[in-house]
Amino acid sequence: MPELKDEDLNALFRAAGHQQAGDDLAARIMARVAVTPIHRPAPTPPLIGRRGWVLIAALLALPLVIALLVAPGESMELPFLSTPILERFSEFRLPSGPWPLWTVGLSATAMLLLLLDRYLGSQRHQRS
Amino acid sequence: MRTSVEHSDLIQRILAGDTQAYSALVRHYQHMVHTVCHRVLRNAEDAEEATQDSFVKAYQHLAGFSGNAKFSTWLYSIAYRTAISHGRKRRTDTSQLDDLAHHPAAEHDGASQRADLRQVLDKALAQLPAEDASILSFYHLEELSVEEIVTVTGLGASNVKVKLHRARKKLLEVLNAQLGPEARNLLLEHA
Repeated sequence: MPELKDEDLNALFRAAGHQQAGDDLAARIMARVAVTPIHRPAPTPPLIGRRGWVLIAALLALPLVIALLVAPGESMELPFLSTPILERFSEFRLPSGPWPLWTVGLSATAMLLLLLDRYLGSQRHQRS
Repeated sequence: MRTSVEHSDLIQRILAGDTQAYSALVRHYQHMVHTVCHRVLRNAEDAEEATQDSFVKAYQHLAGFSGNAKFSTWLYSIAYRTAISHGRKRRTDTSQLDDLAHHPAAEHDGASQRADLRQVLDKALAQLPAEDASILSFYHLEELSVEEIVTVTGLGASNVKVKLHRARKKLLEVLNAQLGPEARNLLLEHA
């Protein structure tokens, strides 16, 4: 007795073909489409723009650079800080403690937030 | 079948305001979308309504079609989810399924030999869960890959593979049990 097998299914489905929709289905669809507006997703800018992130990065990197150049508890005597305005900071003393580590941590967190912001922004754009 | 690349010109025209250009896409895909909806809803009237809704939704969100996937896959995804949503709203009438399952053409008499292939397949598919019937249809009729079926249904790849395997086995069991040897011969000849 012949039995249908796996390999027969492809041919069977193709021979059976698609369900035939009513003759006027396309016309009915187009009648509804004619009164339907296309949704055009407005591009949503990231919460913090490129310039904002550059500013945040600079503000976080600056104390990190200073921390690397100046040992804790020492006065900041840097040769390139010789302009009258910056001389005011010559007596500035960096606090001791693990704050450079905190700065590194904040920078890394800011970087993660930046990546998350960009990722969520792209996902939102794709969905819309 | 045309790919999304070949449709891109048509899509650009539609997005530019040429609504009538959409009719070309409707005509091209209406039977495919209707089949997807019919596999889920198993009722011609509901399937036509879901087909209409699917095309309207696709039109509304055409600007969001990124072109990463094939247009057909994107459209099937909308159709499948729309049909599922219709099914939840309406709660498929079981008497309609029973009617399909006990159609005379499925019995071992002379009439089954002359049965239309589509009718035979529909009746066999009606014995399977709607999701399994849809997956079989996507794979064997629309020739979608497992990855594309994952995109359309939202199921995991391993889940799709398991369902495909089980549904294929079940369908063969149903077909072999419902059809007499002569009907199977006739089916094999036509297929």
